[in-house]
Amino acid sequence: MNLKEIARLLAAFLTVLAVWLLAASLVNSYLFPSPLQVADPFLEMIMKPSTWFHVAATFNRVLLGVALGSLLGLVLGIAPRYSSTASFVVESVIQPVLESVPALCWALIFAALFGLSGTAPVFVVAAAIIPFFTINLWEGVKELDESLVEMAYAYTRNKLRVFKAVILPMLYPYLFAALRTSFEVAWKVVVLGEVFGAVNGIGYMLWLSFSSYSIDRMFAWVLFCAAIIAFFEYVVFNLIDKRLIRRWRR
Amino acid sequence: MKYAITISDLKKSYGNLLVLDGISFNVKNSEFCCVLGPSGCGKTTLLKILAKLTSFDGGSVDVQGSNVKEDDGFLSSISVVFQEPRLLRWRTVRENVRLSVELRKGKVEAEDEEIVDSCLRMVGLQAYSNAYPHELSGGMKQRVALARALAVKPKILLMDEPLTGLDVRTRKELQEEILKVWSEENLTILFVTHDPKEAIYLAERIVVFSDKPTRVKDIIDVDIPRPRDLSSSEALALERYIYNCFYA
Repeated sequence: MNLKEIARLLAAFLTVLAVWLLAASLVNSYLFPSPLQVADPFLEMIMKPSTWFHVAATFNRVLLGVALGSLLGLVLGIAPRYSSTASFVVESVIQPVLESVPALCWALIFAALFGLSGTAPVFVVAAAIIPFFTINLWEGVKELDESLVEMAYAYTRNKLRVFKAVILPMLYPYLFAALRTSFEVAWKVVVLGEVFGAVNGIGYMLWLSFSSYSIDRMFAWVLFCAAIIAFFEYVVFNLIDKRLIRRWRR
Repeated sequence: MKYAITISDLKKSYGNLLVLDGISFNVKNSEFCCVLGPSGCGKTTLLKILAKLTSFDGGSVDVQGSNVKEDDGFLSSISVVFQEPRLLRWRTVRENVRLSVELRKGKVEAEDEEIVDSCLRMVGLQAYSNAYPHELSGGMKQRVALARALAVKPKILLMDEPLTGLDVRTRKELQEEILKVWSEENLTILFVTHDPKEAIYLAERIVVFSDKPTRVKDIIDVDIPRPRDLSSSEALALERYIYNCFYA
């Protein structure tokens, strides 16, 4: 990021704050706190170790959910290349179901299955991100350079070797795009999962603040969540993109 | 075993389109054999059949004494060089050469690493080991493809117009390179081309294909001593003979 981009980002951030401040002063109710009112609990939260415990719990669920979802999504995205039955099942049954069921339904279903153990949010994340992997990988599989695959088959008939050395690397850019989207989606739905199926984590704390009318704290948690997503989007993924993924692009 | 490749009455069609209409010829062990034919006559199809990358409809094909339809074992003795280099853009030159060993053996041992290096030296690319394909010229890319094909120590090398699209000088250099490899490694080479001059320069025997549906028009022994001079009277006479054969 250069100076100009940073300045622009800062300007956007300040604009949001200004609009928020203005709106809050117009509404003038404790149900809609202004940034100044949220600043206090926000700073207080950053200092408190328990906050980071909740963030860690949520982060852990995001990681597990993304790992599980990406693995399943990878299989579902690639299987159609190797079997027409798999192609039918994935394209006309699994994908439509996963795409159309709202995250809230998954949250309730998995909460009913796993109770408050904290497992439910992991599955909610997995269910929500699988379609992104499947769609991205279908796209990748369609764009595969078949002349390279043919070259590989001239050296071996071992499908696994061809997949590992030639096909999978061609899919890396698509996997990365899916991973990036998945992380954003995961942070959004994990919170929902935690409202119903956990007794810690950001979602649980959001729910707790809401039900105890601590709206300023609730806003502080929302800010926290947004900051984490922004950190991943602007810092982590941009770095990975620059360092690693470019060389696999055409 | 006298013949590396035996093809008899080979037939292949794509749908209703008959491509190969009863091709028969043999390639001797350690021979440099050129298949010469017009564009689109099914030369590439023939190579794909030999590498078992596509099926065929009639006749029989034996490679290294094993029937292509029934056996896969012969595949470990052949390598293919395609018309385009077909390099993996995310791998360095050396990693691209190593790929063939990874694919064929599953793992690369210390002695294979040495073979990879010697193949890179053979095509004069050791200085470019860590370069990526996009940094190379067309001729260099094709050299990498040649090194990759050699790294698995094949007995038979199938080459599908590998020099098409290269400039005259690069072409000349690579022809020398290929001849050198052929004599040093005791390879059997089946080299497909549409250029009579190239066939005359390289081959010990030229199999001339007709237009589709393709048949063998002629099989010509080339006895001109090497290094060959394409402007010599024998070479010119042969070239005229081939042209007559094409338009007969």
